[in-house]
Amino acid sequence: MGVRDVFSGILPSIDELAEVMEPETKEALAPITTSLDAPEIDVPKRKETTVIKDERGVEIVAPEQSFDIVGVSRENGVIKVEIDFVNRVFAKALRWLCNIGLAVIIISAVLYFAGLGPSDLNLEVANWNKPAVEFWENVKGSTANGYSWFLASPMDPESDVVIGITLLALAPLVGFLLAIPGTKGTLRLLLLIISVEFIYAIIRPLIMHVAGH
Amino acid sequence: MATEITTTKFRTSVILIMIVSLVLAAAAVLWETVGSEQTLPLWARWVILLFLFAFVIGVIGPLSGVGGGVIFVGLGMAILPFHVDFIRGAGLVAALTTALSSAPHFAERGLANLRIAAPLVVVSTIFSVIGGIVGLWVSSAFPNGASYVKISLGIVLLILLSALAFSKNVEYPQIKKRDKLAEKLGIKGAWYEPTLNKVIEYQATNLPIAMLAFAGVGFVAGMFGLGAGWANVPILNLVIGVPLKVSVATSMIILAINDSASLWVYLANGAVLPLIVVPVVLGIGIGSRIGSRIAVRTKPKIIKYIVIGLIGLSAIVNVLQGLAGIGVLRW
Repeated sequence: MGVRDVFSGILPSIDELAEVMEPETKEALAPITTSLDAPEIDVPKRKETTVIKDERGVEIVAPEQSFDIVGVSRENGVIKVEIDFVNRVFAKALRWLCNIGLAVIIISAVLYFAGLGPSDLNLEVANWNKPAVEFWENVKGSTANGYSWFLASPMDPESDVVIGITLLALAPLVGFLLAIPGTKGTLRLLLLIISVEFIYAIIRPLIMHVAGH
Repeated sequence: MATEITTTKFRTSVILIMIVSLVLAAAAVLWETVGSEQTLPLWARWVILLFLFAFVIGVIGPLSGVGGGVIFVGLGMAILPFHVDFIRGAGLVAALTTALSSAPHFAERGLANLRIAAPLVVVSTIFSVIGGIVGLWVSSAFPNGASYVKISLGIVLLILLSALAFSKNVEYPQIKKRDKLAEKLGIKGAWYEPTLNKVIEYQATNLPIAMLAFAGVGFVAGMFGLGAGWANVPILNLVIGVPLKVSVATSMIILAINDSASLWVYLANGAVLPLIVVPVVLGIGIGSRIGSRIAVRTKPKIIKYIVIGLIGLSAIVNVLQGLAGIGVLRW
């Protein structure tokens, strides 16, 4: 058994992580009413899958769509789903930033718990029942107003854990900004509005901080 | 056959109760003996305890059908000694990590649809930011701010329980009539369903009502650091009329966007403490591995009832603690 197998046996898969926060069945209190009929109005049903082959001889299960998935094909018995540009780019951005963010968090956490940073963890325990602003004043003597409380000390593993979390929080915005060029019409407008909302959420504390002074 | 299933469920229940009991016993022993004075510093004992706590939540989450974030924030506020700011911050990071890990996977399968999420997220993003601002403002601006947060969280958890009790998910909802906004925005989608070997297409309806509902969901998610998938899925499934699988997957995208937007508020206010966040994220992640494996075989009802009871109990405890905090009750 290789190292990879050992890790894959311990670490949760993406499906399993999805299940824990968002169980597919919601069956605790909400039973599912199962109906195999697809929606009736305006939604064309495919009672049987149309099997056609393209020029390379690859079996096409579904014809090209104008949305969501752009095609489903079967190659050597394996079903391959192709999704549209917007969803594809957005998904890739989330995946990359999530992986980088988690790597930063885990590496920094190891250094942090190994005591390689300047943080006094017992002092943190003594103060963690206090509001966040008071906590950081007591523990590090810094005011948690804006992002300087962790950006100002990049050599501190504790700050690096928070920088890793910041990368996670940036993921959707990066996804939107990369997807916008491939959109048009209403979807482009909606993604632009969401991006502006995100940017506002990020810079709001800085504006308030400057205005406060 | 029926006897066989009952026996499997009984055995799994016993195994699960044993796992949870062992973890709790290990925590108690660790606290009382190993950690006495010199062996382990206080912070290390807390990190291990927090990991075990999150691990148990990770194990029972998939079996109970209720999200781990809700269990963590609800129970955490009721029993853990941390300030409510840090519990909400940790809950938000845990929910965000899970959503970010799974959303790309769902999107690449054609299940999660950004086109459906976009009009809803336009509303919920800004309200999740407002929720975060209000939540942190309440807990810091008033002397008993944390008590107000606890009371309101208790009420939200009770509403959550009743909402789950009365909502019935529908795998393929029937859409009678589309609203003008959904039609104008052209909200529709399709995914390949391997179990049926066909592409299933769907459309959306009732978009204005759903946008209003998502304003509320975004606010609650930001204010309490909850994932809020428990609200997203029923709205997508029952109000908008999106098939259940697409609702669950699209809910992940919405969760990722809302939680990351409100997380900026928590980051800017110092409400993210690595000492709490790291064991919680790791504990829930690894625990879910075991929980999901057991869930594939069987989902013992006893666990569901225990979790439902825990959420109900933590709701009541939060309300009572909050009332005691503002001097209305003696606790």
